[in-house]
Amino acid sequence: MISDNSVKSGGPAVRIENLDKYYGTSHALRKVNLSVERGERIVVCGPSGSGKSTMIRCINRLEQHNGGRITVLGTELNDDVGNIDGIRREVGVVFQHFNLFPHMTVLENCTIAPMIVRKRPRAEAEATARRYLEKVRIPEQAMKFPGQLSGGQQQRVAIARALCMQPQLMLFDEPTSALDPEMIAEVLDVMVTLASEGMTMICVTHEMGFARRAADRVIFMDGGEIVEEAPPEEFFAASRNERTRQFLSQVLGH
Amino acid sequence: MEMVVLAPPAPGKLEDLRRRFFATPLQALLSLISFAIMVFLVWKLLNWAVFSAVFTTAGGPEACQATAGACWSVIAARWRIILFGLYPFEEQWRSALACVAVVVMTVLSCIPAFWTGRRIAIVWGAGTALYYVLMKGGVLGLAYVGEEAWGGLALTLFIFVTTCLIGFPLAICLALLRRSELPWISRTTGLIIDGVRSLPLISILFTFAIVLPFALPQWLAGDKLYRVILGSALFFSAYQAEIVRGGMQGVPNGQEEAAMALGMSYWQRISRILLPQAMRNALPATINQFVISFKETSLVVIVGFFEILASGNAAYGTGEWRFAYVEVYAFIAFIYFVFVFSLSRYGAFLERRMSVGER
Ligand SMILES: Nc1ncnc2c1ncn2[C@@H]1O[C@H](COP(=O)(O)OP(=O)(O)OP(=O)(O)O)[C@@H](O)[C@H]1O
Ligand SMILES: [Mg+2]
Repeated sequence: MISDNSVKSGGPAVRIENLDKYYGTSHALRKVNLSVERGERIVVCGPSGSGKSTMIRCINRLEQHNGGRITVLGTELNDDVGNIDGIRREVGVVFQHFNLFPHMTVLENCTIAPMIVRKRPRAEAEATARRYLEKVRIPEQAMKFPGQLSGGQQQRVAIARALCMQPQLMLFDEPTSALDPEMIAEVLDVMVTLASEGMTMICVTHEMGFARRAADRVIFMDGGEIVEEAPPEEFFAASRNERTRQFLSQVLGH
Repeated sequence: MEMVVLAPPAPGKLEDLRRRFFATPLQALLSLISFAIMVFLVWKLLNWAVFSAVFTTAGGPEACQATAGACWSVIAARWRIILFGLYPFEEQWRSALACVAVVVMTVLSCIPAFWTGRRIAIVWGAGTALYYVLMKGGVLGLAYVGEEAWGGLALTLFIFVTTCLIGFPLAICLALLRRSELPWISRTTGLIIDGVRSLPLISILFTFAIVLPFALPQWLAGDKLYRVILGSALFFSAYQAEIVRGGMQGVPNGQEEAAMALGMSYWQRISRILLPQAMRNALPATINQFVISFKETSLVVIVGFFEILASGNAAYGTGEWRFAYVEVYAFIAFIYFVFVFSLSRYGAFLERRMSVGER
C-alpha cells in the first residue's frame, strides 16, 4: 500500500520508553517500556483501571504523556503539531463505543477523512471505501446511517473507516466489549483477517481466544505497569506471575 | 387475575363523534354549549371582518363609520406607509424591490442546495448589496435616500436579517471561544456573554445609538442604523452562543476523539463533526431565538426608527383614520404571523431533515 506520509519507514512501529502519565495526582502509567515491530500483533490485557486505554491513547496523542519518550513509525511524539498530525494520519483507532459520525452515512463516514485529510478525490475515496466495506462484509449498508445498524455492524464500519486512511498501525481499545455476545465473533473475524494480512496491531481486549489465534505477544498490565509480556502459548500455559494467573482465571471464567 | 382485552371494532365517524362528545348527558350539554359559543364567535368575527366590512376607499373614512364592520379601507389607503414608512412616495417601488431581495435571499439560504460556503456567500453578498443599493440609491441614476428615511416592513426585514447574518457567526465564535482550553479566553468570553445577557435589549440599543457616537471618533461611529444593527446582533449572539454551547455539550466526547484519530485538523473537526451535530441538537432553541429576534426588532422605535409597528401607528395616527387602529394592528399582526409561522414551519422541516438516520 502506498502512502504519502512524512513519517519515516524503518525501525519499530512503536517504541515507548519510560512512559509516565498522570491524571492530576493519580499515576496512571508508571515507567512503561514497550517496543512493537512492524507487522507485529500485540494483545494488551489487564484489570480495569490498569492503564491499558491510557497507554493506547498516548500512542496517537489522544492523551498527552508527562514523561518518557514515544516514537511512532520513526517520528517522536512531542509538542510539534506537524508530528502529531502526521502520526494520526498513519495510525487508525477503533474505539469501544464505535464513535461513528451519526450525521453521515456509512459511506461518508469512510470517505470524509481520506478526502479532507489526505485530499483524495471523491471517486477514489469512495472506491476505496467500498472495497473496505466489502472486506468487513457490509458493502450493502453503505448508504445507511450508523443509527440504523446493529452494534456489530457499526464496529465493522468503524474498522473500515480507520482502514480507509490506509494506516500503517491499528490501535483497538476493547473493540468488542460494548457488543452483545452474538456480535463479537463477526468483529473478531474481521480483526483476525486483518492480522493475517500483516497489519501492525495493538489490541486491548479480554478476548483470549483472539489472543491465541492472532497475537504474537500478549502484554499484561496492572497498576499502570507492564507486569508480564510473553507469546500467547507461554502466557496462557505457564504464567510466572501471581497477578496474571489471578486475572486469567477471572477472564477465562473458571 | 388476568383479563383478555379485545380491541373494540373500529368505530365509524359518527360513532366516534358520539363517544367523544356525547358520552354522558352532562358531556352532551357541555358540548352543545361550547359548540353554540363557537358558532356565535365565528359568525361575529366573519361578520365584522367580511360581511359588514368596507374594503374600498371610495367612500372615505365616513363610509367606515356608517357600518359596524371592519374598516379595511384604512389598509387600502395607508398600506404604503405601513410597508415603507417615510420612504419618498415616488421611490417606494425601490423599497418594495428591496423587500423582495431580502425575502428571496432568506428563502434561498434556507434551501439545502445553497449550503456551501461559496453559494451562501454569493447569495448573502448579492442580497445585501442589492438591498443597500436599492434603498440608499445615489448610484445608477437612483435618487439618494438616507437611512433616516427608511422604514416600515423594509426596515424591519433589513434589521432582522442583518442581525442574524452578523449575530449567528458571532454566536458560533463566542461558543467556540467559551469552550477554549485556555482559561483566560473561556472566562473572558463567558464574562462577555453573561454581561450582554444581563442587560435589557433596550439599554444596549440606547448605548449603541446614542452613547457610542460620543465615545467613538466620527469616522468609526458610522450611521445610527448600523450601530443599532450591531447592538442587536451582539444581543442576539450572546443568547445564541449559549444555545450553540448547549448543543455542543450534547455531542459525545468520542466524536471529537474519533475525528482527531483520523487526523482532522481543529477547523475540520469543528466544521464537519462538532457543529453539524451541535446545530442539530440546538435547532429547536435556535428557531425560537430567531422568532424572538424578529419580534424584538420592534424595539428600534425607541431610538427613532420607523419599523413596521411604528409606521403602523403613523398610518392611523393622523387625522381621518384615527378610529381604525384595530384594522391596522390586525394587518400588522398578519404580516408578523406570515413571517414567524414560515420560520417555525421551516424549523420543523429542518428537524425532520436532520433526524434522518436517527433511531
Ligand atoms: N480522563 C481521566 N481523568 C482522570 N483519571 C483518569 C482518566 N482516564 C483514566 N483515568 C484513570 O487512569 C487509570 C487508568 O485508566 P485506563 O482507562 O487507562 O484503564 P483501563 O485499563 O483502560 O481500564 P478499563 O479496562 O476499565 O478500560 C485509572 O485509574 C483511571 O481512573
Ligand atoms: Mg479502557
